[in-house]
Amino acid sequence: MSRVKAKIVRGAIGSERVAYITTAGGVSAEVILSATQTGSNHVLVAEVARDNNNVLIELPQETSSGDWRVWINKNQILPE
Amino acid sequence: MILTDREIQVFLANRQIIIDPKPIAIRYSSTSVDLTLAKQFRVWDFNQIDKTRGEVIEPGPKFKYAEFRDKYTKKKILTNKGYVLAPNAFILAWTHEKIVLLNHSKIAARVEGKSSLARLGLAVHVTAPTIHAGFEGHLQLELCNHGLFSIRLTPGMPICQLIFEMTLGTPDKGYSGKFLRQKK
Repeated sequence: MSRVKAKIVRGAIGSERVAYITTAGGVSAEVILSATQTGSNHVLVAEVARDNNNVLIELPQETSSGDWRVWINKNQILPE
Repeated sequence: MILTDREIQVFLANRQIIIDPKPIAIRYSSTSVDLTLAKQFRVWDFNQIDKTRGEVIEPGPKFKYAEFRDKYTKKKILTNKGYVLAPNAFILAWTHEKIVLLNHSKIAARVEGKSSLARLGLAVHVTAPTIHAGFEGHLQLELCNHGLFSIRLTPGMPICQLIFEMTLGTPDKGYSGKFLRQKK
């Protein structure tokens, strides 16, 4: 799993978090997920593919606009 | 293939599926396990909604559901007296149990209603029953009373059932970082 930079805020119930991830297209993608899938500034994601400076990631949950996979800039991925 | 009660319990024992807290014996059927209703739920705030009559939701790339939900719903706690769901009412609720489906376990699941409640008109989801491999968290339920009578919801009541299915193979994300596909 990889850690992707995100703004994390508390969700509707104790175990829920809302994450905002910046996509390669500059859009802020909102994802509602479990607290255990986030840190204070990141979301745990799976890397699926790479293309030059971008990485295709699969999110733990679907974004509010319906995407499971989004392209992000590789500098959004935090070092291990 | 759908897991039977025996396989569900084997997968739970091996921690290939995690349900926390573990369901008690009476929650199982031959091919499913019941989950129960959590105390937290959210109701629509009609005072807020009335202010925005005519607003159209546009669920496109800029739509932020969590912000929408926080603006138009109010948090409630289910007491032992319960909450009466009127006909045509729609609320957001959660399962008491937390579910974890590990990527490498080759398991996905579906949350479905219980026939005993369905007969009264209670729906527990709105056409999105799939729980994908890798899911982790409490299941959000979209409770809607399609029946003619009010239904009292109480904390801990069996509210839905989970049906587990084995996947054919492991998804890409299960191999993340090992066999990453290169584009172009």
